[in-house]
Amino acid sequence: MYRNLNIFRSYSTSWESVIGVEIHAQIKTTTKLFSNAPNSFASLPNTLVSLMDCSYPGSLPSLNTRCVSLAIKTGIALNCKVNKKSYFERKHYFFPDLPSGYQITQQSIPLLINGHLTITMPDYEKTIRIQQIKLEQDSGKTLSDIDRDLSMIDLNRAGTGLMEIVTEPDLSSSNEVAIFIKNVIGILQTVGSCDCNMDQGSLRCDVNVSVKRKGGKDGTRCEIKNLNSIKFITKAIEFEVQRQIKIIEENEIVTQETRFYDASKDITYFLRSKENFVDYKYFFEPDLLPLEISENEINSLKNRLPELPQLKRERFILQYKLNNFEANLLVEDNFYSNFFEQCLGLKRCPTKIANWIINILFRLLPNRRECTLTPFQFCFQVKFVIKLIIEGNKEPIEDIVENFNSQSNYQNLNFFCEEVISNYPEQVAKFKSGNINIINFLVGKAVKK
Amino acid sequence: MLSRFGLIAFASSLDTPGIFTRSVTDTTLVYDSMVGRDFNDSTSIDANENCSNSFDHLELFKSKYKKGSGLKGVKIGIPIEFNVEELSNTMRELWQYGIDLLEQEGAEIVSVSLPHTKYSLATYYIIAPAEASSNLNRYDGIKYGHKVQTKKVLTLNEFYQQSRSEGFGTEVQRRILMGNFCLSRDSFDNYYGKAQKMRMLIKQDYQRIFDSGISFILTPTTPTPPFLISKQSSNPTEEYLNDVYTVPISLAGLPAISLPIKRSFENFEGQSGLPLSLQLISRWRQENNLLNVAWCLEQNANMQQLKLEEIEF
Repeated sequence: MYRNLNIFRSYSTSWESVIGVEIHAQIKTTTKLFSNAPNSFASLPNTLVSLMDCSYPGSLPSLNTRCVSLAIKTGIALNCKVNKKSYFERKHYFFPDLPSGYQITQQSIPLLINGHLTITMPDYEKTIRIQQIKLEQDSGKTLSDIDRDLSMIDLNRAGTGLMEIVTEPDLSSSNEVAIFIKNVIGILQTVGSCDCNMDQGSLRCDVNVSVKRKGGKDGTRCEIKNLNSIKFITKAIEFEVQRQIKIIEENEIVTQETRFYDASKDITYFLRSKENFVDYKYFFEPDLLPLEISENEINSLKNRLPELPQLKRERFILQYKLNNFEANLLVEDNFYSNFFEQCLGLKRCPTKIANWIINILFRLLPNRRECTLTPFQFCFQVKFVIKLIIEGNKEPIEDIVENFNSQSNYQNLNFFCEEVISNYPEQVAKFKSGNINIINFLVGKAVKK
Repeated sequence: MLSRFGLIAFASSLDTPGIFTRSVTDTTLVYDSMVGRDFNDSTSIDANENCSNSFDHLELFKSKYKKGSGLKGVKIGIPIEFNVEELSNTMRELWQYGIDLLEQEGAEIVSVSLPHTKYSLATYYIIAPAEASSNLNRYDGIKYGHKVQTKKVLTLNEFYQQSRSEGFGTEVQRRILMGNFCLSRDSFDNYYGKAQKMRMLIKQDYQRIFDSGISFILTPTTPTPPFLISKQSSNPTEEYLNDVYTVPISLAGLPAISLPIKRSFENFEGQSGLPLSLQLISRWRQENNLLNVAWCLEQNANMQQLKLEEIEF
């Protein structure tokens, strides 16, 4: 309550937020960036570690060129320029999850630079500049919550390829950041270079936030880490903006720091100061040759790019007469844009199908990423839809029916299903308590209608 | 040419496996078995016909060899900048001896200039410790190697500091500290950055010589005869001076072979009979020819086998 009031107050005194984003996306290849160990998520600890990954004396890095191809495709999709000659460098620091004591990354001359992405907000469009995309190794994982006295190191992730996508500080609100990241996820998934699974850590975002008065000089920025979902990113940014505004209004100074987001308390807290600057002693990696890409290779990769979300959205609007909102939602996730187009192959009514997907499927699925329905089942098989409606159960059935009715006049399966369900609560209860066959009774009733 | 995979890395851009044998013919055998591209080492390259099958090439050379004119048409360069004050008389005489041997076999001796030689020691002792300090970061006591044993509870940094201080010897620690300094942000441009540029100039010196028709360069391997363990200097910088003839070759990335030519007669620090060596250097990817000429030098020098009983250490 207090916070909400603050939002009103700050916006009315002309504060601007200046936000930049750093996205670390794990590259979706079967092996890691410089070693031939498998790149996989769920495995027993320390089972996917080659000699190179644990920095065994005598081991040397060997570049996985597929990582380079996927990174270049991603960069082209984000309108970047490809540096035909880029270099790998060593970034030195000591930490248990970094076995070699240095990370192989790109610093002075990265693979891709100067890209941009235009995001569509409700009332306006904005172009966000992308400073660079570079290739680097991921570190291992340190787990401190298994044993109170020991830190456990799992090197399965050590050496996995990462694309680090860094933007200029062109973003001005948490909403813009959310839309931007969703767009980037759409592109990464379409190109096939990343799973973008934030829960599993295949996509991680850090944000740099600072505030300034409109027309005033730039503020000091703070980096926020540990943001595991778009929702948390949005909340963390909002908290941080408030925090910084409050500090400045009390005539104090915002110090440059790295902060951690605590989801349970919805706050950011101090982790380390940026003033104790670490000297990473960068120099060019002598075990690797400079990365050289020819014009032919770039063109070949460009030609192999699939239809990007931006174009797909425009096509959906043009070809299927969808509105902006519908097109945006469908295009956000590759899976659903394909699902949509496959449904169209079965039942030719684009606006209807879009409607069903957005208003029924999305609302009922507990987790959008786990949709077990096939397009065929969705379009024709009442059984599955009923099951879904009952299991989904996120809203009272009357509300769904209400909403649905107001969207279209067309009499269809789902409407009847819902009616049936509301008319036969006993049978629904029986189904819920495990009597699966009762669904046939309900199906029969729906079909009759 | 030779893969570094499996070598404990010291200074990656300078490291190479070294072949130690008792004769040049043996060297060709070992070299042949190692040469070529290794996919485990991204910086290794394929060998062409001038740097592979060296044993067969040497056999062919031996069969066609005519004493007195075997090296006809071969130009050997003698770099004037290598004739420094620190070069002992014994070694200077050895150098002359080697020159005479080759001239007798028909080679043409040419005086050449490598103007950046005087910077090579400093360049090496910036680049090598810098890269070594990086490669040695992995020895932290966490996954393998020496780990500090103590009942006291240490912070992570204390753990690293103590494990590494105990595990590394004095010379290694010295080089790590030097390397860290050269790579630090404030010093990078003046030290490592400049050293890499100087390295390029040194490499170009040699390229110019080889481009002008010289096939090989002959120099002493060390400025003095081998020093006895008991008489070792306690000043590390003096020790580093012993590398003055081998270091520029390493920086330029050229193939070279060092072979003992004769035993010392003069009393060097009260000793005689010590093995004295000369170094032959060729252009990149000319290992076959290098080994041929080395064999020729070995034949004509006819070095006496060393008997360890004769030496007092």
